[in-house]
Formats: sequence, C-alpha cells, structure tokens
Amino acid sequence: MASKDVAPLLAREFVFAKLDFDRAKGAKEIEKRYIDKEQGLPWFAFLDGDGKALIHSTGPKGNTGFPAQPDEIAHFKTMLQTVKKRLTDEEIAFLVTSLEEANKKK
Amino acid sequence: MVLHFLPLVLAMSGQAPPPQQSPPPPPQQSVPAATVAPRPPQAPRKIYSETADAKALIATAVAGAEESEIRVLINWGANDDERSTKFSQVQRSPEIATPKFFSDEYKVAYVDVGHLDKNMDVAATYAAKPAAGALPYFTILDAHGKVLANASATQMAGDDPATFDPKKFAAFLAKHQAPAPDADPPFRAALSQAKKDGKYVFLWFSAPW
Repeated sequence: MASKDVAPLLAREFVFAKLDFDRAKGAKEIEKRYIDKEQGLPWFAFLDGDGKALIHSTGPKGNTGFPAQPDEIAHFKTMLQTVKKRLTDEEIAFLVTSLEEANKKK
Repeated sequence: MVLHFLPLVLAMSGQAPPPQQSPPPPPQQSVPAATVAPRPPQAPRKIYSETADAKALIATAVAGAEESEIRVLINWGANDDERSTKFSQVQRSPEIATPKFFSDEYKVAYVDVGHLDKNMDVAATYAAKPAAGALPYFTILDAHGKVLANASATQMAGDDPATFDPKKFAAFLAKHQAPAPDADPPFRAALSQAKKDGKYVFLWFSAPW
C-alpha cells in the first residue's frame, strides 16, 4: 500500500475525523447518530458538511472494518463511488487495487 | 482485516501510522499424538530486546502515543533480572488489565539496561535512574516525549519486596494517564472544514490498540 500515492487522492475528497471510540468523551453518542448498534472497530462513515451520513462501512455482510476480503473491498468501492465528486473512476480503481494488493501480501 | 489500511487513513490525516500490532498466534489444532513431530526446545521469550536501538524504540512509542493522544511507559529492565521478568504477571492482574492501561492508555517501550551497562545514557536523558535491585524502572512520557514521572519497582513493591503490588502500579498509571479527549471539537472542526472546502468527512472510529 503506497500511502504516499493513496493519501493525496483521499485528501482531495475528504476531511478526516478520527475519533477514539473507547476513550473520547461523546464518541459513542456521535456514532449513535449514524447507526443504532455498535459495529466493532474500526467503523467509518462518509458525511457531508452538514453531518449527514451518505454511506457507512456496514455493508451487506456487516462492518467491513479494515477492508480486506473481496466483499469488504467491494463495499468500500461502493462507498467511494457513492460520494465521488473529485475522484475519477480510475482513481477509485487504483484505491481498490491498492487494498487488494495489500491483502495479497498478508 | 488488513491493517495496511490504517496507514492509508492515517497518512490521509497527515499523521504517521502507529506501529502495527503483531497478529495473535494461530489457534493450536488438535493433532493425533502419533503425528506430532517433536518440537525443538524454545528459548524463553525475551522481554527486552538486547539488540534494539533504545532511542528508536522510544521514538516509536512516542509516535504511537501522539497519534492516540495517550502516554508512553518506558520499562527499563533486563532479561536476567527476576522482577523484570515478572512484570508480565502484573500486566495481567485485574487491576491493570481491566482498565486496559496497556491497550488503551499507554504505549510501552521495553528498554534493556543489561547489568546497568546498556542504554544508561538514554535513561539519563529522561532523568531515569535504573538501579541494581530496583529494576524494572519506569518512566512515563506525555505524547510529545516530555517526562511526567519516574519510579522504581521498589516503589510498587508488595508485601514481598520481590513482587509488584498491582494496586500501587495501577494507581501510578492512573495518576499519570492522559485525560480523555473530547470527541466533539474535532468532529465539528472536520464538518466545518468539509463544508468550507466542498469535501466530505471521512469519520473514522477506532481505538488506541
């Protein structure tokens, strides 16, 4: 996974908010705004600037966590395609491939 | 799950990725005795790497602590010091394990001081004073590497001076642990920035482990 290649792509589309679910005060309440049941960690969602969730990491087979399995990576791809404004299809394909390659190395 | 994805996201946030946790050992399978090959004797696992660069170990721990806004515990000890080798027992005690000090509140760096003839110069930079008969010695750093506390094992001893009192050690850790961060300000800041820049928020819930 070449983060130096991946990070700028994602940064074009997203502002990152990392919350410590167990330690940060109010983190659980924020997650509850987007999903009823605790999903395990990591769990993530793409929000618009008003805080509305457009899609989250709980896919058809549950929370993808770190996307690794084919269905998890497929859901992550769906997430990116759902919100893409700046990312091109080629760039999304690159991100997906980087996850697949990382999984092969495991 | 692929931990490689974490650096991806962390890199996106402009932060260095934390050190990866070793995967848990694979479950042992039940195999008929006749098929089990004799195993070569294994050397006991050494807690303190005798070849590691102490400064690098500590730097890695500080980077991880900074990422998670927690503390660093430097454990200065030696593999042939009995109380140093007993440290893992106190880690498993309910007083330490239940509050998740070692998974959620502290990044731990184990630094080998040998027979007080290794890494003592590094210890001195933290005003740590590992001493014979008083190992392991503990230094707590904040997320920027600033020394918050120093203590020797003798200050944590139980009724038997050769043992740890888990309650004393838990109190030491609790006294110096980082205050819990507030989730709301960074969340609101991200929303505000996203709205300003016409971007989305990648909201990521995780834990220090």
